Amino acid sequence: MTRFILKRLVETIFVLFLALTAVFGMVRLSGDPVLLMVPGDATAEFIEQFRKDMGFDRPLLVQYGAFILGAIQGDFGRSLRQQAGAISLVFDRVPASLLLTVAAIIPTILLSIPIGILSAYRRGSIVDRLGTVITVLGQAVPNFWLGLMLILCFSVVLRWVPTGGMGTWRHLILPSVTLAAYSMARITRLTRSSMIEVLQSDYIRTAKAKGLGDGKILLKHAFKNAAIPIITITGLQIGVIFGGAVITETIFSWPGLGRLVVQSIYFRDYPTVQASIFVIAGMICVINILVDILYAVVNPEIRL
Amino acid sequence: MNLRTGIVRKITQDGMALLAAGVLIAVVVLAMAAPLISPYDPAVGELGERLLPPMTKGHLFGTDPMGRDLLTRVIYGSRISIIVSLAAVFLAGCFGTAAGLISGFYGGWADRIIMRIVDVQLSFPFVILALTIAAVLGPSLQNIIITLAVSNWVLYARLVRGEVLSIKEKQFIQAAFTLGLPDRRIMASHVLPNVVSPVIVLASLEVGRMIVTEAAISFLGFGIQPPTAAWGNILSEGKDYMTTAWWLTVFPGLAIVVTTLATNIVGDAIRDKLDPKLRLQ
Repeated sequence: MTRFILKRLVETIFVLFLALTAVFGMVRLSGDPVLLMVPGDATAEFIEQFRKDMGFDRPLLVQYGAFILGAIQGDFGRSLRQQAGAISLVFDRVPASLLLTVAAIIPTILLSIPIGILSAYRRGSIVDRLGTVITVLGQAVPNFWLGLMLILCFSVVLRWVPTGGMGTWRHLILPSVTLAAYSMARITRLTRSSMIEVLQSDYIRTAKAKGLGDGKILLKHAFKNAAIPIITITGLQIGVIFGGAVITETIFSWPGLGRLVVQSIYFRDYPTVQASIFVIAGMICVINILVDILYAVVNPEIRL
Repeated sequence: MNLRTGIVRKITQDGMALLAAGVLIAVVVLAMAAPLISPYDPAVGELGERLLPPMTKGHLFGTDPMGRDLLTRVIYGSRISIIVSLAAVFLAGCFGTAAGLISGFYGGWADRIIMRIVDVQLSFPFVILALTIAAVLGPSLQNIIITLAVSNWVLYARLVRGEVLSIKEKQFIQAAFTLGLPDRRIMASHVLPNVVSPVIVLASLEVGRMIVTEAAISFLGFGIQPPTAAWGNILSEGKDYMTTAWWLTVFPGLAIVVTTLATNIVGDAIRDKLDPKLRLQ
């Protein structure tokens, strides 16, 4: 197991390195990065001064080396917009995003998996039909529209919750529901189909023939084996949730990392953009490792 | 399940697919006929007619803050969504298939490098990647298509690689190798046709996602810019008026939902039709 974790850590470092390179290259995609970062009406002298100050007049390889060295030490430069280091801006926002993500994932797991199991167990029943409708809708409704509609309904018309910002538990409800919707739909659907497939296998039939109670079969045998694709997709959904958080945080004015990314891109504060993307990539890598470990724990056959 | 419910289920399933296909065809026809059937200009508004509610005379969906007819804008917005999603899927599909073919067929270093890039890109949130590329390239129709294609090609690459790997071992491919056919010929005439079906299935399912992502990028301001009408930027303009003009957010959103739903249902139906045939090949 330790060797496995070590191997994954090495892979993660490689991936993060690739991410840094990609982030370095992205800003230079359309030619001159300086032009991207200065205001539209900047004079030629200002541009040249900016170029010298930020070190963009050095050869590309030197810039790359400096960037990587800085990144390793946690220095992504200063934010072009606010008076702070880029990376510290990012870390300030991480707790808010984590709160939102956790608030979205917990109900997802707690609701989707039981509903999925029940739907598989009682196919064609009301629970199943309802589940299918919610699943199909959840995957077709874009989350920014869902957020807007929820605001319209519960904030504007009913006035039960505030329209945005962070503070009390009331501020958390709508954003987390919006964020969770798509993932809930996918995981319910996946749990259902995974369970259906497993429930049709021979050893389940044997268990039933042996006289084991339905509950025991469901939980002890079927679910454990159905869990593997569920864990994979749940892990993948975390990435989706981070992405969805970008839009959700913008709509609900939630002071999280996603909103920072959008604002930084909008204000051309590329050092902050680079830092945020790197941190997001790092968080996803960590989650992937955890998911892989969970895999190995659940299924002893997969001892990577 | 008895025979009767089986038949009822089949009809409702096929019925749903037909209905969804009908909706899609209607959307495409509306989009193509937009200049002919819209009574108003989507970009220019009558300032005297700002923010009229739906069902006002002459404005079925109401008007927006600039006095432009919402129905016209929504219809014109469908053109953007259709063009962008189809073009992006086509680009991503072609590029991804080529990458997957090379990766699966030749293996070795090419495979390892391509798959590493694919894995890394796949685990990163699609939206953030698309946003950053869109911001760097600048907002325009072509750039949106490029952005979406670049963010999306990896799915096709991974799928095609998997298919190629499983086909490579089949006898008829081995026979082609033994006969001494050049690699390119084998790839083009033997491997590719068998790989096309899953790609089509994936493409049809991805069209919906492209529509939603384009709307999201335009919503955040990095995509199609006003005054060109796109569902995303209509929503964006409308969200500031939610308390006073609910129709600005409801109708474009409904358009997105209905179209995406229809594409997903049709995509599922295509998958059901193509899948059993895949086994028989």
